[in-house]
Amino acid sequence: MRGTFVKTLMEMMWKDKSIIVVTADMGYGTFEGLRDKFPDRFINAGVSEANAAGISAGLAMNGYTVFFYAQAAFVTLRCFEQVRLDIASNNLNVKLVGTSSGFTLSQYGVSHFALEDVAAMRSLPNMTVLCPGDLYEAEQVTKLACSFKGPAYIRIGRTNSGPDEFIHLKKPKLRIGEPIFIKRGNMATIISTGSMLFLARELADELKNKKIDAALISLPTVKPLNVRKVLNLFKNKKIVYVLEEHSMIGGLGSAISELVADRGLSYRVVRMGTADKFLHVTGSREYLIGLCGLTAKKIAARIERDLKQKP
Amino acid sequence: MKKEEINLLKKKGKELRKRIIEMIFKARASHLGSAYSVLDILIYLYNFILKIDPKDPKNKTRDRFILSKGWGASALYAVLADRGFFSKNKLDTYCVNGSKFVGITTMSGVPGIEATTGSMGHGLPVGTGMALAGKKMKSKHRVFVVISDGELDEGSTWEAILFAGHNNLDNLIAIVDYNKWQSFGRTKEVLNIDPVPDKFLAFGWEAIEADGNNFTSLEKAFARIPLKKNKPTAIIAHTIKGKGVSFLEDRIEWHYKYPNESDLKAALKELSK
Repeated sequence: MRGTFVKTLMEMMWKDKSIIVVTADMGYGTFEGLRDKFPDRFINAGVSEANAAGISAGLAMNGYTVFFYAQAAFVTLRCFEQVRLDIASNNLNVKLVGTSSGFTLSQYGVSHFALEDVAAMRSLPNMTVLCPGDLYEAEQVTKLACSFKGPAYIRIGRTNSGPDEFIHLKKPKLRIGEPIFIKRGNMATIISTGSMLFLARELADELKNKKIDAALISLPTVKPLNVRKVLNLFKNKKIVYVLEEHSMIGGLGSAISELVADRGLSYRVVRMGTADKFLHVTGSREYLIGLCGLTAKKIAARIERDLKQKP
Repeated sequence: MKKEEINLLKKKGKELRKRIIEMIFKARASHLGSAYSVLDILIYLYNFILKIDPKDPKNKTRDRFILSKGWGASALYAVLADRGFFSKNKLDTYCVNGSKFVGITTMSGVPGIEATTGSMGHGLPVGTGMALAGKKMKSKHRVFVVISDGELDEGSTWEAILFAGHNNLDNLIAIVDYNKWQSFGRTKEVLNIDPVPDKFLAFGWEAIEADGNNFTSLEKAFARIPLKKNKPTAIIAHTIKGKGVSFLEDRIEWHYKYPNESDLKAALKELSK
């Protein structure tokens, strides 16, 4: 997904001379081509996220469209206060790009897990939060981030470990805040954001085996949401399951729950995020996601139970 | 500077100090000592150094100024009004409900305010970005950032110092308002930052010391900036917190307290001498 992001960004940089990249020393194996093609528009600020955020703000104030790139845990949390004050409060045209989100760096442990980044970014006024789910979405989200002036957070994660990196059969038309239907279904709705899309597809297959006809939706925007279109996903009182590689506190599941709660709707939302605890273990991404109960089999069984209980 | 010019600046210093204490008295606001500490630096910069046009405050080629110690806002507002960025009666809205003249400098639309600051250690990174943009765009503008001594405790300040030195940003000038006090005590006792010039030098800057409450000394320090080609400039301006009114000088409580009526009267009387 990183590769697609950089390729798209380079295409845009040819056309738009205002785009400049700031990295906090991240990009080995990814950014060399861009650096060599655009040496004047590639700034390595060193390992100094707080300063890099301030520098990004200063560049944006002088007319640049800034892509500030670092690992998801650091570009959002390490310099959160700089992002809040220098960038978001001034509605500056800085696009934060967080790579290796969720459990991508699974072997590295807690220091490199990024499971609270969306919650933090979503809490900031002016901030648009975008989580692409496959390579098509990654390309479109990168372009979309430049279609408006103002700050955005682009959350880059893993697709899957195999060669199959597309879920959508063709390039979907992406609009901010809008869900994309991958499959329609009458019995339940599964919304996936970002890197959970591959697990979500597995889940849909698992449900199909159980003769459960569930809708599968990708929602690459966490903020702002198109309220009407999101609430429409509950049609016929379907239970909505929200999958994300992020803490179940503060991500898309929370965002959708808030929409429902604020309106006093008797809809049911089930948040399927990572557990509200620190995992002091290592392992593969799949293993860690599994520790949080997020496997296609477990979720399918859960949905089956819920549907049986449903009056 | 001629003697008459210096006398004029000193007179301005007294007049603006009167205005500032009135603003703070009326608003029951804090940071009087910080405002008086930095005021002479601001007067000097805005009258002799900064290439700015109050009628065209967003001109692309203007010099940028950031008061990173944003809690000195009252002094900056007073100087900006004095230079004609907005009418002087706007100062009466300082800290009033709904006013854009916020207690700590905020990009709320006040002409001449270039950054939201006051959260410590923000101004220098943002100013460094502006200086970098200047180099990239081949613009002649310079960026001046006034930081407090307390802000030298912040890691982000040093990150910016390291970056600016490495990137040869000789269009960046940092001025340290070194009044030797920070929020909860003497800088020397809380977290010693000395020797300040040596630290800047070690990070690839050129540094010079000055008396930040003395116009002749400031003139000497700013006579030749950048001090060295390809290097950012640090001017370590030794100042006195609360400078200008004897009972306010060098006392930590005037970082927080607002003056009561008798304080105000006494200060105005002393400033009228």
